Amino acid sequence: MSADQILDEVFVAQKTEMIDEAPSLYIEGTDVQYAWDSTSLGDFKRCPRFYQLHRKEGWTAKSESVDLRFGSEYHQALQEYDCSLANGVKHEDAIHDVIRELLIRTEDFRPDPDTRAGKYKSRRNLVQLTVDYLDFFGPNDPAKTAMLESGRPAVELSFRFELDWGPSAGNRPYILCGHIDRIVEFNDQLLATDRKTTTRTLGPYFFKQFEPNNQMTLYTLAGQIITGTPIKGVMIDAAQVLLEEPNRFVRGLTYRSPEQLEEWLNDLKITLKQAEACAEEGYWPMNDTACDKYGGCPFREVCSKSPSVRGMYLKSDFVQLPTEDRWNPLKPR
Amino acid sequence: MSDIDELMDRNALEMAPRDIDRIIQLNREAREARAKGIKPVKTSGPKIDLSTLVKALVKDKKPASTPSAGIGRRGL
Repeated sequence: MSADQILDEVFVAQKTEMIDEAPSLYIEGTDVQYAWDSTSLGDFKRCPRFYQLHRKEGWTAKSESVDLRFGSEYHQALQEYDCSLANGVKHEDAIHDVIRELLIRTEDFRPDPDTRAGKYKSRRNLVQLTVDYLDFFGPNDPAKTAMLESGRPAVELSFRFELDWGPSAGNRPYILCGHIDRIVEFNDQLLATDRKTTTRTLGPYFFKQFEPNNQMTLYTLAGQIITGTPIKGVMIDAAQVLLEEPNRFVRGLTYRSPEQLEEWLNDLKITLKQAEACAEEGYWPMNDTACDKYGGCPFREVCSKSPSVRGMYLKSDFVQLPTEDRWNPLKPR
Repeated sequence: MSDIDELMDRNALEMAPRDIDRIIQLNREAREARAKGIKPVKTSGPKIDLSTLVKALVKDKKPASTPSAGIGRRGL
């Protein structure tokens, strides 16, 4: 079965370029999440308890807020550059505007330099990384931003589309949603793109994490829906943040065949059934084989305690975000 | 505090275009310096009186007959 056939059969495609409101991602009166993006889906696959604590209840380590802010400002800066360039602005002018806006937005961003996160992901390093990336890839990037049918450059693409099945609770289909940085033409093929920042070494081991990978498979599918063309995969621009040497940038490609996309969708049905079952039970089991993965789960210390005292440890080591600040993939960017 | 830190600490809304260009230029220079293994130089901050520093160094200088730290650590 081709990717086009899968999409025709599985999706009621709703190409949405701009999203104006952020409704709840749960079915009213339940804990059943109906709108899923790669982040929340990945968290549930990783460990239902992690999903419960982090995404659903909003417990967040202080250092994570630094990583998140750094990543999100970096993404936004590069997207603004992509937009400017696609609209004919010259490299030096675009970089000037991007850095000015970045400095204005991050006026309040002063992470504690005595923490690892604050040391690497400081405001100073954010500006340095942005300038470095744009000088490295910007003016002579062989990957060119694709144009959508509407004539708009394919950057800052928020997507939201319905599946043709939904949870048994409520009367609505599941929605897959997210945000793709841009779609590019590269070596005569169309690819979705994503940017990653890391303090880890950028070698084959780093790129292996994307095959297989929940986010990259969803982005390939979403890219196909947004453009109406068979996007082959995702181009990943990874940046290694360094303190004394120049920041490093490596570009990797990951491809998905139609059979892989079909398999992912079939697996998704099972995963979402499991998520619904957890929500109905009000219980998200621990995956105790994942605690040492992903650089070590931030909740490991909490989960290692007896259940009756975990709440105390959560409150001492984490902050709980208010409901409106918790992860919501339907929130517009 | 380095030039770039000082510049970046100013209110971004009040920066002139030349300030932004300077920040970009300093970042590029910092990248070049990192590539050559040069660490950032602090060009501002408290001034050091060199004559006082020289006097302090002379005062602290040990006589040539002082046993080396290595001998001392061995308890001789």
